[in-house]
Amino acid sequence: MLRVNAVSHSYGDIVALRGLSLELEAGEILCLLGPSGCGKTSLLRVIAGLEPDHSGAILFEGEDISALPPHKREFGLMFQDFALFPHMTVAQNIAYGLRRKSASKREIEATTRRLLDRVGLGRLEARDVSALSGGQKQRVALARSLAPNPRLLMLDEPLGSLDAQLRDQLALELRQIINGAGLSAIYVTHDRQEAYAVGDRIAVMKDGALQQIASPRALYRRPASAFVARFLGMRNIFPADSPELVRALGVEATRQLEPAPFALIHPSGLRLDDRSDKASPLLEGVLRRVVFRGDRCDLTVDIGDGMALAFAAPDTQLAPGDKVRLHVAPEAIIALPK
Amino acid sequence: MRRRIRGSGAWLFLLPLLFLSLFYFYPLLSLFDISLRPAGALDLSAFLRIVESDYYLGTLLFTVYQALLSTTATLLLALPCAFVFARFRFRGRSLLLSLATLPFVLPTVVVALAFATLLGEDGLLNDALRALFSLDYAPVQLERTLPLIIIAHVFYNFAVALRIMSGYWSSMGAAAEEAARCLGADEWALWRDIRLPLIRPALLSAGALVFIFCFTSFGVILILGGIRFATLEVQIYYQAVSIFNLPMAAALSIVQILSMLAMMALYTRSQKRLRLDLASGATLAKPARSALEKLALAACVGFMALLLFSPLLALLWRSIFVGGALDLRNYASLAESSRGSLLFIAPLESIFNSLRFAALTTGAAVFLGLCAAYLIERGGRLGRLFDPLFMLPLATSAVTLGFGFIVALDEPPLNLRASWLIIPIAHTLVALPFVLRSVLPSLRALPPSLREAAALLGARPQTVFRTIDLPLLGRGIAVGATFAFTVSMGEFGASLFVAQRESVTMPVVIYRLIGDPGNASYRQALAMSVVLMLACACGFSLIERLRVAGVGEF
Repeated sequence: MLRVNAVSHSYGDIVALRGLSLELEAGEILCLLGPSGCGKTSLLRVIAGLEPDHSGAILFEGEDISALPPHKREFGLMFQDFALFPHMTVAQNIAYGLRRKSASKREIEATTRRLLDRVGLGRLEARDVSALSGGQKQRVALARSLAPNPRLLMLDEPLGSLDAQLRDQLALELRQIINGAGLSAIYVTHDRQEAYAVGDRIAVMKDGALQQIASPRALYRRPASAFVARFLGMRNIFPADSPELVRALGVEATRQLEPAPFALIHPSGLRLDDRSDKASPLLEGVLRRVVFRGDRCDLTVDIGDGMALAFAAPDTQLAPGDKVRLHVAPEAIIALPK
Repeated sequence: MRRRIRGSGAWLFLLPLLFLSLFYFYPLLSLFDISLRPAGALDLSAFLRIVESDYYLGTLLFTVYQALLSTTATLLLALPCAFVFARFRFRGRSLLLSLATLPFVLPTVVVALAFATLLGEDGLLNDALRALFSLDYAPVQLERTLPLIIIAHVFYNFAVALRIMSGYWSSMGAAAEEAARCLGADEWALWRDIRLPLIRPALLSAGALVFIFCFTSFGVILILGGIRFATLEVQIYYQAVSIFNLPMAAALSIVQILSMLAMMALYTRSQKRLRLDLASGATLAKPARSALEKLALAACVGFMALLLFSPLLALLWRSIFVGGALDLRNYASLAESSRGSLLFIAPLESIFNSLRFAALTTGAAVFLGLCAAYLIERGGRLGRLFDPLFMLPLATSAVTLGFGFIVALDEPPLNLRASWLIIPIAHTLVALPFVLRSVLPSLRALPPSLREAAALLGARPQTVFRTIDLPLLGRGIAVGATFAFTVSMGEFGASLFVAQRESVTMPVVIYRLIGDPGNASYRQALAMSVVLMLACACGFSLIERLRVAGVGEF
C-alpha cells in the first residue's frame, strides 16, 4: 500500500535518513523502533510531506506522491508533543480536519461525539486544551488524527510523555482503536515492550537506515545484527572466533557460526540445570548476580575466561557465589552477521 | 524556600524604599496637591477646564489619536516582517534583529534631528530630489506634520512589535502549522485558522506596549511637531515652563498618570494571556526557496534597512560633510560657546556633564537596584508586593517626573532645585526599573541550595554574598549597569525640567541648539547628536553582547 523507496534526507550537515526503503501493507501496524536520533521521526515527517526536500520516492497505492503537499495526502499524524491548537477547545481540535474536508455540520458533530466517547473524553468537549492533563492531551491528539478518517495513520511516540503503568494499558487500547477503525498505521517508539505489544511488524532503525524488519516474534528470536540484539536488551554477545567461546560451547556447536563476526547466546535458550535435559550441552559456572523482579529473576553467570551469560529464570533460592550448571539449547546459539 | 531578612544589614533593604518615597511619591503627592488645592483650598477648576474646554479636550484627543495612528502603522508594517523573521533563516538575521532594537536606546532628540536631516525642508531627500529634477522648491513637505511624527514613532517602536510577534510566531507556529497541514489545511486556511488567531494575543500585547510608548512620547513631538501638535506631555511642559500655569500642568500630569496606570494594567493582563500552553516545536525557520519567498525576504530586509538606517546615516552624513566636502569643523566647533546663544556653557562641557551624571546614575541605580532586588526576592510575601512599586517610575512619564521634582524639591528640607545633584537623582529614578528587571531574574534563578552549601562549607553571610551571589549575578548586574548608563545619557524629558544653566546634559543642549536660530548652532547640534548616538550605540552593543538568553525580563 505504502512504499518508501530509497529515501534520504538531511538537515544541513546532519543526515537523518540514508537511502531507506520499506513497505507497509494495508491494515498493518508497523512499529519503527530505534534509539533517539535514528531518524524515526524524520521518516514520519517525510511520509507526511512535511520535508519536501528529501530524495527518493514515496508511493501510495502505486502512485508517486513525493510532490504532493501534506494537506492533500489525507494522512493522519499524531505529533510527539501532540501539537494541539492552543486557541481551540477539545471539540474544535478534533473537528478541524473534518471541517477542512468540508464535511456537513451534522457529520462533524456526530464524528466528534463518537470519537470523544471512543477515547473516553465524553464530557470534556468544551474544555480548553491547555487545561488538560498529559494523558487527556494524548487522547485528544489521537482523536484529532483519527477524525478525518485518514488513509494512513502515523503516531510519533504517542505514549512517550506518560508514566510506565499508564503506557502499558494505553498501548493495548491504541492497538484496539487502530484495528477497530481498520487503519494502516506506522507507530514510532523507542520502547521495545511497546513495539512488541502494538506492532504487526517491527522495523528497527539505526543512523537513518533500516537494520531489520520482522514480526515481533521473529525479531525477538532471530535478531539480525549485534545492534538489534543489544537494542532488544540481549547481552550475551561475543566475538564468534574467540577461543573462549569455542572452549565453552564446544567445536561442534560453534562451527555453524563461521564466518559471522559475532555470536549471540539467546537468553531464552538458557536454563539452570534441573538434570532433566540430557540433550543440550552443559556449562559450568558461578552465579555472579541475582536480581529479583517479582515474577522472575535476572541471573548473571560467570562461565570462566571473563565471559558472563545473562538470562531470566523463575525465582530461585540460589545466591551469588553458588556453583551452577547451565543448559544451552543448540538453537540458542545464533550467528550475527554484523 | 524563602528567607526572611534578618541581621544588621537589614537597613540596606530600606534604602530603595526611602529613595522611592522621597523622589517619587513625595513629588507625585505635591503634584496632586497643586492640582487639587492650588490656593490652599480644594479647587477642581483645573480638572473641570480640561473636560470643558475644547482646547484641553483637543489635546487629550490628539494624544490618543496620534498614538492610535502610530500604533496601527507600526503593527501593520511589523506584522509581515515578523512573519518573514519567524519563517526564514538568512544570513545576518540575528544581527538585523539586534540592530532593529537600537532605536530603543537612542535619545529622542537625536532621532528627531535625524529625521529632520533626512525628511525636513532642507533634508537630504529634498536636496536629492531638487538636484535630480532641477526643482526650486522642496517636493517633500513633511516638516511639522503629523506623518513625520508617525514615521518617527514607527522607527522607535518597530523592533518592539517585531520582536514580540516574531518570537511568539516562531516559538509556537511550527507544531500547530504542521498539524493543521496534515489535517488538510491549505495556505489560506493556515492564515485564517492558525497564524492569525495564534498571533492575536501577541498583536494585542505589542499594540498595547507601542500605544503606551506613543502616548507618552515627548521629545519627538516637541521637536518634530511643535506646540501645534501638542500632546499631553508637550502641553504639561508648555503650561509649566512657558506660561507658568502650574495648577493646569499638575492637573494634566494627574490625567497622564492615571491613564498610564490604566494602560499598564491592561498591558499586564494581555501579557498574562500570552502564556498559553505552547507546544515546543521545531523552529519554523527555513531558508527562502521559491522566487516569491525570496522576494518577500528581500522586501522585508530592504524596508527595515531603509527605516532604521537612512535617518541615522543622514544625520552622520550631514555632520561630516560641509558644503559637499568632508570636514570635521562641526565637531571642532563643539568647544566654542557661540555668541548670544541660549547656552551658558560650551557644548563640549555638556559632554562631561552627561558622562559625570551617567556614571553617578549607574552607581546609584545598581546599588539601589540590588538592594531592591534582594528586598523583593527575600522579603517574603511583603517583599513581593514591592515589585510593582519599583516599576512605577517606568509607568510615569519623564516630563511628569521632572515637573514633580521642580515643584516638590525647591524648598527646605529638600532644596535641590539649584543643585546639579537633582539630575542624577532623576536619572536614577528612571533607570532603577531597568536595573531591577535585569538583576531579578538572575537572582530568582539562583538556587538557595548554593548559598546553603557555601554556608555549610564555612562561609559567613558576607562571604556568601561576595563569593556566590555576586559572581552569579554579574552578568545581570552588568546589563543593568549598561542600561542605567545609556538611559542617563539619553534622558531628555526630566532633564529639560531640572537641568540648570551650568549642569545641562547633551540631549538638553542639542534641543537648545536646534531651537537657536543660526547655522552655527545647528551644526553644533548635528555633531553633538552624532557623538550622543555613538555613545548610546556603544552601550547598546554592550547590552546585546551581555544579554545571552535568559538575562533580563523585558
